[in-house]
Amino acid sequence: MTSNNLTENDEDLLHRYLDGVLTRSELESLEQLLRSNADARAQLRSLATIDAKWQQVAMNESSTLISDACSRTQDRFEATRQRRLSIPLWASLIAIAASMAIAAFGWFLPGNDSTAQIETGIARVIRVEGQATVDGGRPLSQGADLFSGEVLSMSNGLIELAFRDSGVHVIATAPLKVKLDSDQRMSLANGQVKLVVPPQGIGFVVDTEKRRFIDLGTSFVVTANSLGSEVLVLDGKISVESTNHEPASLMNEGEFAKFDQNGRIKKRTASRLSLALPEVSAAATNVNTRSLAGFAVGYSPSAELNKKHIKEDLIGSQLLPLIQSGFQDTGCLQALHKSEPLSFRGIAGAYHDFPQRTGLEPYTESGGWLSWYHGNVVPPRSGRYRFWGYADNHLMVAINGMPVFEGSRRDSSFKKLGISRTDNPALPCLIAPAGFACSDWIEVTDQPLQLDILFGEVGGRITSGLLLIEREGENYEETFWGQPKWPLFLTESPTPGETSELNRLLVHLEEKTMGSFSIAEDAIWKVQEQKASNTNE
Amino acid sequence: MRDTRKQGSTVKNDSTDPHETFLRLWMQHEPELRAFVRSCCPKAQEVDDVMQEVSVAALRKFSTLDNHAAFGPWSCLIARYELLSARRRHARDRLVLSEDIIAMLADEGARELDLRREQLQALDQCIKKLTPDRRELAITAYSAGTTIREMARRMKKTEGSLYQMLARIRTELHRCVSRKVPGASA
Repeated sequence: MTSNNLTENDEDLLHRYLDGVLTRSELESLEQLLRSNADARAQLRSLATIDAKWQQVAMNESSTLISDACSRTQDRFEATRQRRLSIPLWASLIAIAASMAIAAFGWFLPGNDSTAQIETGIARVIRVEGQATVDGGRPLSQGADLFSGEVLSMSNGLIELAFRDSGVHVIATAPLKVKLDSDQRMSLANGQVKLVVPPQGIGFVVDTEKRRFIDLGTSFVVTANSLGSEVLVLDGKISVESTNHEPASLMNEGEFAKFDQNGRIKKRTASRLSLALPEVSAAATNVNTRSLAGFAVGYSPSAELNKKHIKEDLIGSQLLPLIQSGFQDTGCLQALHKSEPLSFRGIAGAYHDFPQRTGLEPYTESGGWLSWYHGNVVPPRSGRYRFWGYADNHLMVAINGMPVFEGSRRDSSFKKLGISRTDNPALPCLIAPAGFACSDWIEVTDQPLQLDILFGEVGGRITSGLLLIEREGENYEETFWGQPKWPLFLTESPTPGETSELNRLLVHLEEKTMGSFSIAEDAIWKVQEQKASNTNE
Repeated sequence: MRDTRKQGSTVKNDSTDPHETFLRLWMQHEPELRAFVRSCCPKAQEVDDVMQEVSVAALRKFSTLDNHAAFGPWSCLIARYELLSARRRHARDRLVLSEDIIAMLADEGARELDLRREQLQALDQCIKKLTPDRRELAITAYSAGTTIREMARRMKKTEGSLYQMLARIRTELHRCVSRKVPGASA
């Protein structure tokens, strides 16, 4: 063994990765190593630092040293310049400054010659309803490419686009005149555009004549015409700048603003769109033996809470002993106020009114609440599974008393448990900046196992969550963003009422966040009375 | 993302030309950012491409950064997105690490900027301790445009033996840095 409990073979993999010479099977071994071993990841970063240092040293010294080396002996090595030269920082910055100058002063000028050199379009047409043309001539149809600098016009109908690299999704309605300046920017002269910006597209700019809207979140709508512009922030936040260098201002989810033709603000209103996330309320308290049973807990109204700030997590900390005892020690629940008995209906959507509709009220709202579902379930088939999801605030799944998934927000005490998790910001989930959280693979047989699910709120009334399950090797339909529509994790088939509510939630997620899920009968982990357990991981 | 810097946070929000401020901050943080990016790029040559994209994106978004002392972690966040975008672009035609691993490396790496800076400083000393031959070999190998195949041909060695030599140099430097910077993986 070498340092950090890495074998020589492990270290060899790290070196071969940095040298860019891994084979496919070696890559798989390396991925396995990096996923499971924090020391390996730390060592890779340290070794990469050495490589980066060499790159820096070489950039500064290579020309002199190479010529010296080559002149000393013909047998010594010589650098050949087959690949493109690295671009010095100053040149890069001049290029940036130049591109910004073009953006600032090139308002609606036709694309220049450099456009012709770009072979792949910056955006692709997904759908056209009506007649759309670029630069006043070329008609656009589904699948067509749009290039940097092109001006898109429509007199009626709508067009749906996706930007190739930034992943920004646009639905624009006529009458429309918009110039696609780059993968990160468009200039809207006339029309309405709705943008959904995935995390990699943050910073996307919509210019209107007098105002500039910069995405800092997820989704917003801009309307522009000769009378001015309007913006509505659907999710996340945006920065609004004027084109005459006045200070920028931030607008948050739900806010609407209208600007006149001189860029002056005419109207600004605020609302809370996060409250619009559908709440699946049917059957939460319809307890039966077919579904996982549970209850919610919170602090009683008379409890004196020593809470230093609003997001301090008291309830999560309170339940840590329960988790750490493998869900055996329920002493920590004694002092808490309980809801009515609950039936597990999946974790999906908003839970703003959950304490009220489950009989947890009256309770101390600032102290938060947690629901705990517990029982024996049978996986639909043996194999390897992993959980996907996210919650604002608490979400945790344990199998046979061992936590296997933690999809909580950053302020949850469950973070203290150090449960292995990966975040996937490229796959939007609810309004989570981190995107979907994912567990490690968990291997199960088709025998019953103990399942515990904790879900809840740190404090306040804005709660949401989503818990999905993936089986290894299964093919799932994918969203446009490439997110597989993993099934909702359920222990019983949803009722017709629930199905209709879940479908409403699905539409909301697909339209607002581009996230999605499915409801699959063959993914249901049915409740089993028998007390047996098995898991290999 | 929180600012984890313990030192070097001397840049404050000021009223000078924002491009100048950006340039100053970029030059101050570029070395550790390059190291951060390198761990997620399987080809050294791709680091320049990603760094270029990061610099462009960072400059575009610079007006949204209120706290200039957080420039390092903030630019790591931008780099994370650029790394994932680059991975997606390259996934079809070459071997790349899975997205979740890149995200893991990037998230942990963003919390280690202080360590990166210390390691880079320690490397100045450690590189000086190398024999001139080894130093020269490494500099040539890491020069832009160099191919190991061509180097091996000219040195009349196999590519495999050259990679081994470079790995040994890397290991030697890693040990040296680990001795100088407690907390570095070793």
